[in-house]
Amino acid sequence: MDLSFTPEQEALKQEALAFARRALADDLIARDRESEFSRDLWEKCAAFGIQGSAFPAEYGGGDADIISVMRLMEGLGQGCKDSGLLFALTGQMWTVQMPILRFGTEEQKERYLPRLCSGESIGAHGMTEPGSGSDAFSMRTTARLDGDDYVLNGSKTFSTSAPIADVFIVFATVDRSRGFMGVTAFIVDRDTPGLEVGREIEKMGLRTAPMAELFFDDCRVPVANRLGREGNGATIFGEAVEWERACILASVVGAMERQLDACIAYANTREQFDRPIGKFQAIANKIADMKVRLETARLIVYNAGWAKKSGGKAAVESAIAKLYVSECWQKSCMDAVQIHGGYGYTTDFEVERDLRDSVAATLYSGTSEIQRNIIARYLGL
Amino acid sequence: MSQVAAVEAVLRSEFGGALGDPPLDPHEDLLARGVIDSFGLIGLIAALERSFGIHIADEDVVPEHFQNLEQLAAFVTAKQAGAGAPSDARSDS
Repeated sequence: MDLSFTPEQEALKQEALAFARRALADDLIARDRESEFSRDLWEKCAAFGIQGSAFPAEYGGGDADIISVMRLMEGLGQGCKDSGLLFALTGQMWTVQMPILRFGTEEQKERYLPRLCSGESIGAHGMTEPGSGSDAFSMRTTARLDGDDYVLNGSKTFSTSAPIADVFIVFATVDRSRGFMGVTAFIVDRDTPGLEVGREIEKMGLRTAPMAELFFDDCRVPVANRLGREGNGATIFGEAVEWERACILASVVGAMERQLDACIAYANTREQFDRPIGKFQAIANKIADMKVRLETARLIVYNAGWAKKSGGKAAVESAIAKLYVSECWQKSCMDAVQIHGGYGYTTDFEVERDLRDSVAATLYSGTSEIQRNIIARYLGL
Repeated sequence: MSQVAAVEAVLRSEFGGALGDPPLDPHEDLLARGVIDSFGLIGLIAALERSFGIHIADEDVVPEHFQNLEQLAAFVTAKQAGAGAPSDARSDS
């Protein structure tokens, strides 16, 4: 069993790391405080090839395989402290671009993918509703066929990038009696009459990734904008979150490495009782645990990637990765604050922001409880 | 064993008691009854692929193939015959 990366994949990570350190470092403390998204950084990422990396060249992409993309995202996560930016980027790549690539008509691909890859357009995803979170397919938003249009009515919440998005992938049911197989996906342009983007939702972490509600009031979406077939929405959603779960965590693995390096550096320079604090087992053991989490998280994330690459379906592998890495990330963020002591609690040291950002990791793309349900169901329970 | 009975056996292996006593009415709406849910679907697809030597593409996972036992059996038969089931009909309306 060879767990090494190819020289090209290794180079990709190093290039992404160097790019992120060089081009994506700005006054993040201020932007986080103001919940400010950076369009400038978004466009720099697009110019570097992030958004297009996993997509065919004919749509402006980089044609990279999933392992290479994950390696790219790991480098980005290590070099870029703006977890909100990376969350919005990966959200678009896997829950907007990938469904269009996998299920879209040729016309839909040509119309939307090049602009999303180039950074000209921003995409958002509308699934969660005020009354349906983990029970996602019990949605109330309906789509009624009327002539050449579907008429959408209902609302969505927690839609990342909605305040700045040009296009939305929206899920609605065409027949509630069919349960999850009534769910259908639509591509909705922002300027579609009947679509209103609601207030921006203030949140604890990932503050540089704006989030809002969506309201549909007799919103007429052409049949040509239906994504996939009627009733195929649950599968489209399931595949999108598989990609998201496998790949969003690659950037978290990079962030864990950045965090570990910062903690080691601090433990070697901060002195108490006439010694660097890293010489005390209480601190050294925490850092050792962080290293173990990092290495095991990396293995489990790339295992999900390899499963996607070789077989296509990786629901269980992705669920395991999502569950394990998000919970490791939270624990290591807590340790990082503790290692930094009182300074870790201050904004200037930037470890408290990672902790706030990490809380979202066990919630988005399916809570830890839902991941456990998926794994248990797979085990016949 | 008929194809309907063979598919029913797979359904029972995945959903057990939720189906009630055999035999299952081939026209009973499995979606409306909530027998097949989104969690169970993953296991059902894997079991169908394993039992019948077929590959079920994501595009094939639509109500007209899973609504009732008769439709599901017909879908499996089409897949076994290499008919490709209607995964290429994605642009229909």
